[in-house]
Amino acid sequence: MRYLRDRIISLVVTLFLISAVTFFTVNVLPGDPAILILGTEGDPERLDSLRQELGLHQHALVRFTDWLRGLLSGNLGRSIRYSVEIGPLIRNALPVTLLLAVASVGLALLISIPIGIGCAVRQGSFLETVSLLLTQLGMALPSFWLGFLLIHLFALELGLLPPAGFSSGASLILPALALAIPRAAVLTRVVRSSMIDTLSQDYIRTARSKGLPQHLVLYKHALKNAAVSIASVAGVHLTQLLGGTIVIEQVFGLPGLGQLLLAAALQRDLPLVQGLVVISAALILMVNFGVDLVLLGLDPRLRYE
Amino acid sequence: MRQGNMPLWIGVFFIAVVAIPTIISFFYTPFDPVVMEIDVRLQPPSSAHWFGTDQYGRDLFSRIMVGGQTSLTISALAVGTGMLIGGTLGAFSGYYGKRTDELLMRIAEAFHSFPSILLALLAVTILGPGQRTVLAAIAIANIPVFMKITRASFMQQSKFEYVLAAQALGASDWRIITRHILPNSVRVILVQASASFAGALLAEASLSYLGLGVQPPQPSWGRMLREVQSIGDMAPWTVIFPGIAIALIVLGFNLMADGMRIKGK
Repeated sequence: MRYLRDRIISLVVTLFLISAVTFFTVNVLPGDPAILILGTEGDPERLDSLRQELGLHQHALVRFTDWLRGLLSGNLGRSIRYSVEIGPLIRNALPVTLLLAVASVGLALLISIPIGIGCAVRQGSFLETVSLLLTQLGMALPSFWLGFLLIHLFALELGLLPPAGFSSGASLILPALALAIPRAAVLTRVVRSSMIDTLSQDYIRTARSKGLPQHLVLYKHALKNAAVSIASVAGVHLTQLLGGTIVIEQVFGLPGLGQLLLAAALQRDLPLVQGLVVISAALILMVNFGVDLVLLGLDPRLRYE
Repeated sequence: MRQGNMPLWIGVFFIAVVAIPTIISFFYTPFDPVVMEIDVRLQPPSSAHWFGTDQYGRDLFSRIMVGGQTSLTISALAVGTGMLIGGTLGAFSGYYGKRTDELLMRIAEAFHSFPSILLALLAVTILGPGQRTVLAAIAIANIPVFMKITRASFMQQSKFEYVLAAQALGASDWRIITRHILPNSVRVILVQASASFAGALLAEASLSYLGLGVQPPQPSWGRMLREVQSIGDMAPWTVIFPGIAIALIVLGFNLMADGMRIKGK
């Protein structure tokens, strides 16, 4: 329980630090944010009204505490370019990104666990060599290029799935696959090496010598032990994806957080950038925390450290 | 084991296949990579245009050669900067330990958990898109990576007796760090550099694809893929060749990292 308390405190502190760094990077570092948004050629009157809107006459610290207070009460302010509240914008985009990230990691696990176990069981076999070569290839392919190929093959040639846009769950299959393949490559290697480690342990020999069938040894005894390292790597991938679906959202025209952030950054919509970065960071930290709890559940030994 | 070096040499070979044409492109390309010639647009690969031409009639082979300049230079500078800053911080952190160490590692952890693409977009917001922004974002993302790995190696090495012996002989900390420990840590740092280089190439390609990197007319692999996205079905070669260039060199650096790891054992 002490561990939990410490983790929650550090989560809150990190979140505060990230909010502060984001705010000062976007709002204080550039000098005059109004000029950053409208450009040095901006009409002086519009610059003045924008300064008024952003509350730039106040001290940076006052603006920061105001912004933080708003953040805590769920009020993220207004987007400059879209002239609407930021909260609903994020709320609409969030499910797309969240679903995509979870589906990608799920798919990656589905692909990598059987292949990784197969490699660990048949070390030195032809299957293992081919799989390891494929994992190298999978890690080298840029995900957006994979996305192009998948659209070409499954949407345009075979006509099985929608090529772009977001209309139903089927729209997420190809983007999730494009994100899952490089991750499945990494995870296959993790599954393989942690299974090799596990399979050489005494309790596996005991399980085998008492006549337990192979599939029970592998999937019940060994996988349970290997699950700790697999879950921690999968967790890292999940957190990376929460901020890292931007490129694939662009390829497939998905209206997720990434598209929103890309447009906001290019158009210098400072309040929206701030809001999106802080919300993404909060999401990532919470998922991190969740993954740690899962690890505690999977490995009782961790609870006594 | 002789077989142990296979990944290393295959990796070096793949890197050479992409890097040598890139180096040649500083002096010579078969066609001008930026001049548009509408009457030869969208030509499939032929003996004149090995990789075909794009929708503006530009020779893809020449553009891929020149595109490599951007991708390789930015990745090299970014990984180099990350290695220099992260390595230095990590070395001190690992050698001296204690409070500095704790503070530095906390900061590194916080940075590390923050996805680098978010960092890149923050950079784009205040600096605008361009080569410098991409360079800065990839370099900053690499600092904590090199910091962690150098620190771990220095912590491990500083417990060995040869360090104690050097201290007993009255060698200065600076001398011990640079002359005694560093040579023993170089290998892990270089393995990481090779792996980071592969990551940096992919990151640069992604950011250029999003239109955040090099601005036209200067070609880069990611940017080329952005420009041909809509014509990929009519002219698949415009999509296939830049992708293969990226994949081949990334594969090369990953294999080289693997090979060096095996050799180190």
